[in-house]
Amino acid sequence: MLEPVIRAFLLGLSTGALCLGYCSPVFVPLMLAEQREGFYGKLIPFLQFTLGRFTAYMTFGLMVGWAGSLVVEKVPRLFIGLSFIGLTILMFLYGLKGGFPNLQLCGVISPLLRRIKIPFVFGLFMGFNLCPPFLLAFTDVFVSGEIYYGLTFFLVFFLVTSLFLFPLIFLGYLSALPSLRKVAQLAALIISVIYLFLGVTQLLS
Amino acid sequence: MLLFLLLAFMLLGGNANNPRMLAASGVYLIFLTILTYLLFRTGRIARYRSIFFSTFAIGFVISFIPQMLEMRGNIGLTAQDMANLDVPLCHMTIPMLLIPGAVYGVLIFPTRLFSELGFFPMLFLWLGATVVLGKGWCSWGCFYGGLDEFFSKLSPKRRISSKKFNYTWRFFPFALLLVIVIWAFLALEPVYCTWLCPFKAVTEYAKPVDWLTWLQTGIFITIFLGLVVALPLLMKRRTQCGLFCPIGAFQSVVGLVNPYRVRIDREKCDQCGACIGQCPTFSITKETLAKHKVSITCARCGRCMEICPRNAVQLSLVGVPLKGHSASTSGSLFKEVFRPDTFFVFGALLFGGIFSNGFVAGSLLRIINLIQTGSLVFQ
Amino acid sequence: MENKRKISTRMRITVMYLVAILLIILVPLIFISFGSGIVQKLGKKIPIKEGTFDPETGGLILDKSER
Repeated sequence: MLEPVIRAFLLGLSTGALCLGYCSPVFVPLMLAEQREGFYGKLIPFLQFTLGRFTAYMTFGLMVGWAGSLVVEKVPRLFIGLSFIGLTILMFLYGLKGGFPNLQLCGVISPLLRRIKIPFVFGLFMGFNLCPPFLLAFTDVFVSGEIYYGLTFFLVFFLVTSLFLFPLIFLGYLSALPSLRKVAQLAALIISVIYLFLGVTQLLS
Repeated sequence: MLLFLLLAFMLLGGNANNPRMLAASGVYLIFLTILTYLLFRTGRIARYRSIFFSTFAIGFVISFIPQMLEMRGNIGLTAQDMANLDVPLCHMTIPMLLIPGAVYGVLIFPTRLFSELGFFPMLFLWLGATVVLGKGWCSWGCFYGGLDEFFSKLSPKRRISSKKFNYTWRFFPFALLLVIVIWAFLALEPVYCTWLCPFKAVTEYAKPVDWLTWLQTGIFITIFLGLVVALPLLMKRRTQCGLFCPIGAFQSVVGLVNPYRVRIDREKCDQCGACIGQCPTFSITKETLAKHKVSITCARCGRCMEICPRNAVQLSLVGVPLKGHSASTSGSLFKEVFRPDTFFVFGALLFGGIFSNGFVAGSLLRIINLIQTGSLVFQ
Repeated sequence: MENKRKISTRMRITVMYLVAILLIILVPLIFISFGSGIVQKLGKKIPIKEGTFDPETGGLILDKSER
C-alpha cells in the first residue's frame, strides 16, 4: 500500500518543481493572462488547469498500468532493471547539469496554446511532460504491471506536483522560481540516487 | 565583566556539588573570559569565535563517546538499544520528527520524551537557541559545526580556489531537507540518521550487522571524511555546513525569527568581492553582493565583517539604520559598547559558554583521567 | 512631517535595542528554567508519546489505531 505512495511522493517532489520549473515560464504567464481580478477570478482558471493535469495524470496512470499488466510478464527482468538504472542515471545527469535537450512538450506546443487559451488544455499538456522524472514514473508504473498501482502512483504524483503550483500562481512567488528550480534540480539528484539504490536492490533480489 | 559574572554564575552554579567538575568549569571559565576579552579588545569576532567553537566541538566528541560507553556499554547501536529508547536525540532530527509527530502523535526516533538528552529538553533548548541566536546557532551553538570549523582552519593554504566553485550547490541543503522531511514522514523513520548523518562517524551509529548496516556505516564515514575533513582542509570553508547540512537549511528559515542580520552598507561597499571567497558557508555570491545582500544561510560567524577592507559589512538589527553604529564611529565608551554586534556577540557567547560547559569541562576531566588511568571512560 | 519620521525611527531603534537586551536576558532564563521542571510541565501538555520499537529490527511499530 505504502510503496507506490512513497515512490510517487519522492518522484513528485523532484518533478514537482523541476518539470514545472521548466514549463512554468511558458504556462504561468499564460495562466496569469487568463486570470481576472479577485480570488474567484483566479480560482476558476486554476481549477480548470488543475483538472486538466488531473485528467492527464490519471489517464496516463491507467494506460501505463494497463499496458504494463499486459506486457510486463514477457519482458526480461534484467531489461527492466537496466532501463530503470539507465533512466535514473539520466535523471542524475539532468539534476547535475540542470539542463536537458528540449523534450518538453510544453515548449514545443506553447505557440499553439497561446491561441487556444483554455486552462484545461494547458493542464493537460503540462501533465504529459517528458522530462526524466516523468519517464521514471512511467517506468515505475509500467514495471509494476498493476492498474491500481498506476492510479495510486499518479494520484499522489498529481497531488505533490500541485503543491508547487499553488503558491506560484496565487501568492506571486514567481520571483522565487529560479531558487526553487535549483532546489528542485538538486532534489532530483538526491532522489535519483535513492531510485538507483532501489533499482539495484530490486535487480539483485 | 558582566559576561564574566553571568558565566561564572551559570557555569559554576550548576556544578556546586561536584568538586572535580567545579574545578574543570573554573578552568573553562578562565579560558572563555580570556577569549571574550580578546574578542572585544581586538574586535575580531570570527577569529576568537572560531577558537571557542572548535573547542566546543572537540570537547563534545571527547565527552560524548565515553559517556555512551558508560551509559550503554557500547557505541554501536543495537536494535535492543532502540527498543529500550536508549538513544540520545540531537537537534539534527527535529525537522524530521515534526510532521509524523503531528500526524500520528508518536516520536519516530527511539528516544525518551523527558530524559536529559531526550526529545523535549532538546526541543526546548533548540527553540531557545533559535530565538536568541537564529541562524547564528550554526556558528555559536552547534557542536557538529565546530568540527567543520576546526578542519577548515587547520590548513594554512587554500588548495581549491573558490573561483571554480559552482554556487548552485549551496541550494543542496534545502533540497536534502525537502527530501528527508517527506521521506521520514512516509517511511516513519529518521532517515537522515539512518542513512546520511556524517557525525555518526564521531558519535554513535547502528552496529553493522548485515550488508545494509555496513553500507550505512560506509556512507557516514565517507561523508564525514569528505565533507567535514577533506574539503574544509582544501577549501578552507565549512563545506558540510554550507553545502550539505539540511538542518542548517531549516535553521536558515526558522532562524528568521531572530532580529539580527548581517548587512552590507550600500555606500561603503565597492563590490571588491573579498567577502565572496571568504564566507565559510557560501552565503555571499556575486549576485547577492550586487544587491548588497547576504543570503539567508548566513551563520553570523563574523568572517566577512573582519575581512572587509572598507568596513561595509555589519551585524545589525532589523529596522535599525546602519549608519548609527558603524564600526568606525568613535566616541564615548557608551557609543562603542551600544552596538548591535556587541549585543549579539554577548548573547551568543553567553549561550554558547553555558551550553558547552558540560561537554568541554567534562572532556577536560576525561583527558586527565586518560593520563592517569589510560582510559577516557570513568570507572 | 520630517520631525515625525525622525521620532518614529528613533522609536523603532529603541524598541529593537530593547528586544536585543531581552534576548540576552533570555539566555540565562532558558538554562535556569531548563533545570526547573518547566520543560516537563509544558511537554506533558503536548499530545505526543514515545514510539515502540521492534527489538529485532529496531523499526517503529505503529498500532492500527495510530495509523
